[in-house]
Amino acid sequence: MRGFNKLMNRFPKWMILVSSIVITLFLGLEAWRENLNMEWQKYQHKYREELIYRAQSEPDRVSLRDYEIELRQIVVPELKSFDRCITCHVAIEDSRMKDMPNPLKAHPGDYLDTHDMNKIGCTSCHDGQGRAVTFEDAHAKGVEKFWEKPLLRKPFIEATCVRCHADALSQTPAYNLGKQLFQQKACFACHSIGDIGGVKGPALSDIGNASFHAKMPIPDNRHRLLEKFDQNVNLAYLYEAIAQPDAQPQDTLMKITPLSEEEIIALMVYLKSLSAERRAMDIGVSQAQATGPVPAAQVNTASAGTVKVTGASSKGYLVFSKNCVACHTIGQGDRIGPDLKGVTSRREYGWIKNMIKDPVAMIESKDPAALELLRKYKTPMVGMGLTDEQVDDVIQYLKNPEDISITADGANVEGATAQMAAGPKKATQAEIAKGAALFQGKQRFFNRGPSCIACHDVRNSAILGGGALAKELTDVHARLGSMAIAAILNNPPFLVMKEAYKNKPLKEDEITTITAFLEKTNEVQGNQLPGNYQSKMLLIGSAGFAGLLGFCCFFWFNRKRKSVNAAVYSRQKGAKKNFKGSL
Amino acid sequence: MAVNDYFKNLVNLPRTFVESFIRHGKPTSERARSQTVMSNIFLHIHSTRIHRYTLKKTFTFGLGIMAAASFFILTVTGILLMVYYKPSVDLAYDSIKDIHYVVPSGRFIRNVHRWATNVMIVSVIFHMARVFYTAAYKETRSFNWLMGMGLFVLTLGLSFTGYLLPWDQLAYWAVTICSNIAASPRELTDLLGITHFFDPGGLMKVLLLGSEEIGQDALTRFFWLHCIVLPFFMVMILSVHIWRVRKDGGLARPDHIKDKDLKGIREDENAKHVFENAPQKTYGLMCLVKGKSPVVGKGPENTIPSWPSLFIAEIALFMFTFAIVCVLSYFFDAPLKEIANPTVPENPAKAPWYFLGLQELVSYSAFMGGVGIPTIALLGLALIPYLDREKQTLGRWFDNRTGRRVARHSFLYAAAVTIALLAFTVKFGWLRNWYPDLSQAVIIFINPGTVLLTFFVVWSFHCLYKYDSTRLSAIALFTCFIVSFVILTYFATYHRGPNWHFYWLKSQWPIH
Repeated sequence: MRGFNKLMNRFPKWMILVSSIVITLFLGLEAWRENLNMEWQKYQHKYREELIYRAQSEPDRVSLRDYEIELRQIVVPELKSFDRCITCHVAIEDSRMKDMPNPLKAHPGDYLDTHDMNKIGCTSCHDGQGRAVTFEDAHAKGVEKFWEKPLLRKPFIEATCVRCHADALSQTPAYNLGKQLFQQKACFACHSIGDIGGVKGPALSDIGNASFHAKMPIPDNRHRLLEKFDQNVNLAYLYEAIAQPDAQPQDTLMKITPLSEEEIIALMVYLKSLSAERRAMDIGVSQAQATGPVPAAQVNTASAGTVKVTGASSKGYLVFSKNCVACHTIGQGDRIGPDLKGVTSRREYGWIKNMIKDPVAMIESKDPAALELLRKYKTPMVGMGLTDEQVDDVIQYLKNPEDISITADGANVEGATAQMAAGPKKATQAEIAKGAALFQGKQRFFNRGPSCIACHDVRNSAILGGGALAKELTDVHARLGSMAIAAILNNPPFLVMKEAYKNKPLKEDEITTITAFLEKTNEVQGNQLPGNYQSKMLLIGSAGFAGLLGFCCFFWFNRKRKSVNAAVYSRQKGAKKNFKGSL
Repeated sequence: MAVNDYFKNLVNLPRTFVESFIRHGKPTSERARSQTVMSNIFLHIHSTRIHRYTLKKTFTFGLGIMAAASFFILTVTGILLMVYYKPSVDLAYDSIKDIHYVVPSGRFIRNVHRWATNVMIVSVIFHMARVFYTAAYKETRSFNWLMGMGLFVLTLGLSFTGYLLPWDQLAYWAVTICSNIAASPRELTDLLGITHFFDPGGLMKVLLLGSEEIGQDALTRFFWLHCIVLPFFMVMILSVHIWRVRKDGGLARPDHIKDKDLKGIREDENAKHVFENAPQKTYGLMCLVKGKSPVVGKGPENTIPSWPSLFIAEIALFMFTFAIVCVLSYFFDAPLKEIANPTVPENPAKAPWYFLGLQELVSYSAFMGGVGIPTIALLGLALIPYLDREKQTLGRWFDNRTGRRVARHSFLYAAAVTIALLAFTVKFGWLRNWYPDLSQAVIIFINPGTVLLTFFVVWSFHCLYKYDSTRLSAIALFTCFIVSFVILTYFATYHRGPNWHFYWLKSQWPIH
């Protein structure tokens, strides 16, 4: 018992001793683990030994002893890449090291001859986590951790070539096949990439960057697919989505397309290539080498100003670009409705005319072709109220879509601005403000149509509480583009909206300003202005001040009001008054 | 001759220089130590002598010192992290990655910062429970109890504002949840239809985030709060808090202490001689303090010098805290998910663990869970010393046998009620599931959270009548709150999955 008491006395000292040992031990371990025992240091040591071993002369050997063991990195700010890969892959440019095992191996093939490593870095082609300096983290392997871009291997690495090379390359057979298949198998009918494609399925513009968390194969497939794709979750998910689309979500409308393994891999490569980086780099490249062919999607927004449309089909073109383009394209794949390329040779003239004039009647009369289209595209076509003459013009245009020439300098054609065809010019602040006012209903539409906010909402700090009756429009511009928005506003293809704006069409400038506003909304969605409190702030400030005063009163009410001795004096006086005995 | 003096001073310089720092000679005598304690601003926050009961391990468990020690560790590591951290939405995440991968020992420092946070929150909560159960908030100490409440709120605030800084998915969505909790008064104002004119929820959210959405403004604000504003108040109030302990006469202790209670705590052999050797200095009565008058002609019973006993105990606790944090940091990395992406919500998006109990309540009713119940709880905690003014023995866990019994019964009662209510809610749903058209007003006032609250209040009134004691009633209520806090936090952490549905295990979560 005495011994125990003694121990208790010393308890704090024992605690200090044990804690100090634990702390020293773990600080030492940590220092060793993180600063002296990094795997990259071993690789660099090995490389230095190899260099010394291969050196030709004694002086070389001596100078090689000074070869520094240090962190190395390639920084390419334009591509936002910080690549420390060469900390381990230290011999990547050293052609003598062709036969060494990884990571001391030189880069295979002759890619580095044409691709200056110091200008494009490593991760812009290979993905992986450039900032990391351990094997597992840099290659971004594994499922439990949250690495966004696992290292890509053949053939998936082809997906990254298009980040810079807009054209098809002969070195990327899988990518080329995948791109071709994507068009052949009509993926566009439901899925959009950029401005093009349907809206039934999820947009695929950024599918190559699908987040780890949201996109993961279902448990049944998970183990198998991760094994197959070297623990790369993105690829495993893409495979599952193509080969077994009903795995998740189970009620998908997507049909299982019979594809060979090779085709699936090719499609995966193509999908993997679709990412925000690609678009960012597209811009970079088109500035650098403006001669390359511009992708079809960009034609719409490439030129600015008003244009002049001439040629036999020009009238039809104008009608088409106002009314039909929201759902249909010519030769650019399906959108909400079918691609109309060659439609005049597929269908009879009368059928097309009826379909344009009154599609609802066509379906009600159980026209087999119309019903089949409805089954296929799910969204019923809406009559746009065109006159006979306009319908003829459109059909003329559909027959002969090439027979127009667009010149980007002339005045308006037949009184109609063809601005929509040319895409919007950069909108001014005033236009955006007017668009915002119109959207919110602060300013009425000229023809007294209902304001957008009644049904739609956007995420914008200038606007509060939009309706939830129809789609949220924050990123509508990214999804559809100016041209389609303008077309929808001009002649709504949606039944409710069409009814709402019946006999109350929007004016041309109203359409352009709203389009400009939506474009701006999409641009600034991540970067909103702080709220403006103005008069509210004054009110709250006053309330706070009043509260503070009240608080002070509460604590002060019991304060001394008279001098310190007042109490003493009054006590004395009182004592005298109340004194009963004799002095 | 001034010249001679000058050279003499020069020769003596090393000695005088050192003496200006060690002003009372080497701390070999008790006197020198006491003088050192009194004349050093940092040590002066302690009294020179403490009662032996203060060092009783099973009385305090050293929780307050552990909380202060973790705050010190957090300050040091936080300052180190600030060297590399860049508070911008474009750079924050990458700078954390760099801290993790290439900054020398950066990963370890970040881990220490993270783990010390958790140690601090846990020890602060336990410290509060200790102070409550030993009735150490009574009499003059009620002010210090309020300071402690302030520190509690500041601790949560610091931890929460630090949560956003890595700018990863975990951070982004956790803070989204919390900012929505801040906006929850809208549920009530919407119901009254006055949100348009009077929107305190929206205002709170906008004040917190600087915008409607979490973006650069929010990050800047959180960084500012986390690194400047909250630490400033923390240091101020913490100083007051510790200083007040001294001014209130040291830690609370019973009037009559049995020798049994002090077994194993060092005695001061010299204490009986303290007043025998006439002190060289005379002491005047410098201020009036409440309490009993000093005993005349008798050595201060059962007191020992702070130096060394108290200081060694404090250093031991500091080292112990740091050791725990080091071990945890060595084996477990601080979490970092992928970069924040406003378009891909986490499902489930969970708040930091210490707010998960609240989030569970918020899932029943945003207003009640987010504002109503926390306000009631905090207000209730803050007012305890003013509502319970019974005279009693301080410094004993649960006071006496009756107190222990009430605490035990309250523990069982609260656990049973909370678990039963959770099970009921999971199994059968709540009003909204039975009457889909019910007005939200009913849900706001009748939801599992308020029902739980009612159960607890009824129980505490029951105790008030049964034992005729405000203190016992307070013990009952406090125990109920602590128990339900723990259970709700556990439940929301482990059994809530995507869409806030119930799951036994995390492996049962669906994917989409």
